[in-house]
Amino acid sequence: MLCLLTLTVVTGMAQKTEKKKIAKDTINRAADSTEVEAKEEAADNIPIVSLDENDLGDGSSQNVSSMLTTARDPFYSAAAFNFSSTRFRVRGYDGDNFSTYMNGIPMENLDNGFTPFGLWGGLNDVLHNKSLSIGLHYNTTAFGDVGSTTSIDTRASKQRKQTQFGYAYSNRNYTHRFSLTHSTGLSKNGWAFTFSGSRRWADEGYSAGTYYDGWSYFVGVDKKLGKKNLLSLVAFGAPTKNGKQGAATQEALDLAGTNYYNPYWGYQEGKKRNANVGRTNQPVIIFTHDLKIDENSSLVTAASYSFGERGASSLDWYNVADPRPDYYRYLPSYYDDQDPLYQKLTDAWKNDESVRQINWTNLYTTNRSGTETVNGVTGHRSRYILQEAVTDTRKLNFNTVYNVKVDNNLFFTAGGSYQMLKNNYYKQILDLLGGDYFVDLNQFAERSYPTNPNANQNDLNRPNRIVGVGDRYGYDYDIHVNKAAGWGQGVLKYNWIDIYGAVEFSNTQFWRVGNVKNGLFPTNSFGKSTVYNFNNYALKGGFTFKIDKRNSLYMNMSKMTKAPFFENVYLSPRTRDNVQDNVKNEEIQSVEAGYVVNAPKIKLRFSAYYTEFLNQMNVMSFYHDTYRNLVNYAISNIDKAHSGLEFGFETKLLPTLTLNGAAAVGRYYYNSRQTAITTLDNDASVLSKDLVYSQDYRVGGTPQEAYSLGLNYRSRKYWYVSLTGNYFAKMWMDINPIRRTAAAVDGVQENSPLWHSILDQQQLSNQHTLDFFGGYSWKLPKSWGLKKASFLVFNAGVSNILNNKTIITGGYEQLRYDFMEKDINKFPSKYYYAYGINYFMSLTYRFY
Amino acid sequence: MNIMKNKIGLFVSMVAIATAAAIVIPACNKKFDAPPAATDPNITPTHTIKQLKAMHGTLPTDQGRLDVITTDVIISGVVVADDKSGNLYKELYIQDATGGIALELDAAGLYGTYPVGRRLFINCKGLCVTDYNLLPQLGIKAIVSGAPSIQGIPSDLIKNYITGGSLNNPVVAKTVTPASLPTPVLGDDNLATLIQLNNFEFLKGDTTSTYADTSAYKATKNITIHDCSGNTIIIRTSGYANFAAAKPAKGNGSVTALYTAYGTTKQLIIRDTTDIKFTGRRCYQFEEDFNAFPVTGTAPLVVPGWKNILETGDVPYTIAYFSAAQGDFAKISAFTSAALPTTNISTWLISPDITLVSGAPLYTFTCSRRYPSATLKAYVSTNYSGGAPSAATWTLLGTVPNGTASAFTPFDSFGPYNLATYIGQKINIAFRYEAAAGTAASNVATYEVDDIKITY
Repeated sequence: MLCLLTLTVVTGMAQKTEKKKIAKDTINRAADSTEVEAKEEAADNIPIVSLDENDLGDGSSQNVSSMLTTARDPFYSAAAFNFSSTRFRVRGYDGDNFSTYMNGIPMENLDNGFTPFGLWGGLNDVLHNKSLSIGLHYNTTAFGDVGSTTSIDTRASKQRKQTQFGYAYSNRNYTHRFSLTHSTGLSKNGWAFTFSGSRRWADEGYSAGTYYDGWSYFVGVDKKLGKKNLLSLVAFGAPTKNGKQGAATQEALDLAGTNYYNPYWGYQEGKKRNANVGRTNQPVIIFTHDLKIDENSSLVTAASYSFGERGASSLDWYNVADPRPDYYRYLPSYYDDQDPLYQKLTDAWKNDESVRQINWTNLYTTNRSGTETVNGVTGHRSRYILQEAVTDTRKLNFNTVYNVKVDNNLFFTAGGSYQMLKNNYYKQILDLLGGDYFVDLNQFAERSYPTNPNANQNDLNRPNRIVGVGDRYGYDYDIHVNKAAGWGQGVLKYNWIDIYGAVEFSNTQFWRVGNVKNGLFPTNSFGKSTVYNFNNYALKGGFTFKIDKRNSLYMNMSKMTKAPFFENVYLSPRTRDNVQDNVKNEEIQSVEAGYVVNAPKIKLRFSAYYTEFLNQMNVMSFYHDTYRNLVNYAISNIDKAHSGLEFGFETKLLPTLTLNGAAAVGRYYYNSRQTAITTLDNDASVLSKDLVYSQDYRVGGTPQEAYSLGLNYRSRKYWYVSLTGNYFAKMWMDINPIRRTAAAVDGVQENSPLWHSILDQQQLSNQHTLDFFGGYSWKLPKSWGLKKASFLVFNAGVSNILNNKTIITGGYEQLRYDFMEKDINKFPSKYYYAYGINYFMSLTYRFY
Repeated sequence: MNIMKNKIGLFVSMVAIATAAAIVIPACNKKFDAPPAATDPNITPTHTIKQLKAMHGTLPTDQGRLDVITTDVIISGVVVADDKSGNLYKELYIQDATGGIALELDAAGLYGTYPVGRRLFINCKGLCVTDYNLLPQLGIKAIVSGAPSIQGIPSDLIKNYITGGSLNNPVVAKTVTPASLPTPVLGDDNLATLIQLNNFEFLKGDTTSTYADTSAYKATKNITIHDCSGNTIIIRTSGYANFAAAKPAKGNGSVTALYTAYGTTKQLIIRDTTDIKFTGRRCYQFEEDFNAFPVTGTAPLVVPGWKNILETGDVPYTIAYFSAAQGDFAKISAFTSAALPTTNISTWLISPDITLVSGAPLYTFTCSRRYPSATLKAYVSTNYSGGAPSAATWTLLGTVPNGTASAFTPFDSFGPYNLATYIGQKINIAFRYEAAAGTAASNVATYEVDDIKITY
């Protein structure tokens, strides 16, 4: 019914607007761009959280909407900012369906397809030149993804000649930010330089125990050679460390009295210490050659290299009690509510902060108690350590794109790319926490195979190795991914219609190289694995029918196959090179149609889409304390169907007053019964193979319906204010597939409350937010003796003005499930909540 | 041309939107998938549970032997008791028309998957059938601490042996009489089945206690129930049962329970307190067994409602204990009296007010005694108002015969005294102990009174 309603409104709008008299565009562009900057700065400061249990810091956490830009598209500009608080994903797609190019180079991770925005975090000043290709529309830089394709041009000669110094203050991820950017513009002899740097930090972020410590730098040099050649080099990086926020069960949140309870920290000698620290330092260097062959053709060739580490720290332990304060056995609910311990623990959790936070002192005390001799070394053997899961990346990209205008109606694009990635994954010790050494042993294997003396060796090549701070231990393996692609595209443009078609072929290879010989898998943990090879194609085509100069209609279609990501193929790359049963390509087919009005007084886009994802795979891991082991779920045959309507408009009520609105009404379903294979990290045998009754479960983690309505006043005096209300509905927790198997409800009466508690998907309550933005751009008087045009720009944004602290932005159903007892409350879902009222203020001094 | 195009455009856009809507609208709010409901698998049992147990044997010499099934033996049974209340742990009882058996599984929370009423199909090949002090058991043979023993089937292996079938199969306890339960032997078909006994009740003193030990030790506890004919049986409850702290029901009625044995001792195991339907009136309209009160030594008996009145002399009734079978009782003896050489001893034990309600109020009590010199008399009064016994009129019901110096008599039963004439009235019953001044302490009598009862 809701779907119908939306449609009626939309068609009504479309008809009305066509009749409107067209007036001159009077938007104050200066104020407009100020607002854009404010919003981009705000987006840069949206918290990054881990979205699933086994996020080992591989960069899989990201906010899709932050890749969007304030494109002129009225729907996308709403989606980019207004919907970001609930982690809205455009069309419900996963992050790997949105790609980002910088100076001609594809920036997405080859390991999971996500765009690593953090690599250029804090460099907003040089990121203003962006273009966004929405959905299946063609573009001239790349074949493109089904979600969107963003191109960022950070080349020095494309930066506006200016110098600016900025300071920002916020209560979100970081508290302070200083930034300094200088761009020279293109000099007469063909040089252009850009320098930018920023410092962002927070001693404590919005949630207790979180912190932020980031630097960013950017250097760009352009040299124009003659009229045809532009050589560009950019190098940038954003070394960042941040103390993270952990998800927690509602019980823990309620006991702590705040939805922002963070189990990741504890006091150490009076100071808050966070055990889960994210660290990134991956500089990127891009070299671009832009050749204008002639008036009608160009060739852009780029090569890039990025390298460096990202790490995620956490506690690790060996044959001692779990140090995490919110471990389920430490919570009152572990006991019957009649048990006296229930009340005692409830009181302790409520009233004693040290109970619900990490007890660092205890970890040190344990490590310092007693001495032990292992492998000839005598001293305090650490039982608890602080470890870091590190991904060390080396990535080389090459990309070239040729564009030619064959005649006035025919445009042709061809491109080719080659990408090489080598990721080295390992664990290292950050802190022995008072002990003298740690032994590189697999305690889980020790318990599972007490009679096999080799089983507990993480590395048979170096048995019983004594490890200290900075040493690698546990696992150590490389993943290599090579991808070659070539594509071509033809566009026919006429006054009344544009038609295009594009095709891409690609080949992807990946393999694993083990650097240690695991005692459990001596034959398939060390050395190079089989090379997996995937050939893929992608086709798309469509037309835009131009009803008149301002109204157009489009329809696009696409069909493609995609190589799986290695992280969804290897069952347990930490220990061995076993893969999923039937490794095959993912298939995507998508169709979209829309209606666009682009008139001075109104901009409007209405679109509908239907997309199917077929044969997706996923591997999930979690620690199971009955098996005392990491359990791996290999899920395959994941099909999804995403359909929906998008609507966005922006209309001028007055020359200075704009009304804008956006609505995304989607239905994202799992569209198959998946297969789940359960294995243990320590054992190659299959524990069970289950059919997952996942048909028509909702794809979670994003609102399926999002609405916004905003008023924007832009004064001719260079200030603006805007107020936007947002409403979110149909938000679902993503499902743990294992809980939707016959085994999960074996013995449970159909349709009983227990049956529903196990199978039903949790729908999160509908939410609303109210956001404010305002700013003022003050041109400093010349009478002050300033030689150059100088501006002082003030921006402020207040999000969630109503201080709604009950918005669940994410979380997960714990993967662990008690198949015998079937009580889901034993391992309940964990949640993250969106911040309450939060603000961002910035002051920028800029001169040209 | 432009207008024409506009119209075409409008038409096309309407069509496109309608198409889009046609795609999207059916997608609204689809019904969730769900696994199929439980049904019986296509498995045909080859043996009955009785036949399975016969593979272990029924002779006394078969007792305790671990018999591993080496052939394809498939049984089917309905779960009649699970571990939901915690009274059973890592154990289920299943039953078919021929009998029942305890199923040992090394997993907790079994009720989630194998609830009462679920039919199970068990491939016994590789499992072990035996008895634990006569109670038939099906589990797995394993060597633990060097000795072979029966163990629960490891949780990861349960699926290899057990296939769950349909739910909610009727679970009906067989109604039996105490007389129909012979002394347990191997091969007793009643063992490990659900039975129902009617007209039972807890001892009055136990109704103020708990089903099991509520201390940190969580010890298992036996409580005796009895019917009005005096048949008794034990209810055995684990300290881990979630009803361990509950108080046994006060009334009389039916009990549904697993019938088990520990050697020749018959034991009932209830699944939870709903198995006890003691809601009717008890066997007696008045009873006192003193079991709810601690032994007092030489200190006076204090039982709510009862009066312990030293009319003359210094000898009170006390609470004493001799054997578990008898429990506590009221005791009186002037043996240690300082007053006896010079003073007549007269002490009353007077019951709370009793209003007799029905047709055949027969009053009985038991008494054990030793030494001849003193008397114990049983009285009834309709006008005792709580003060001095002398202010009331007492009707003598009987005098307990003297004991001898040689030994305590058994707790002989006295009565029944027919109190029918007092129906509808408030009465008090009383015992009066009298010893004459100067009686030799070595010869003065001791009386022990217990199990005071008045029938309906």
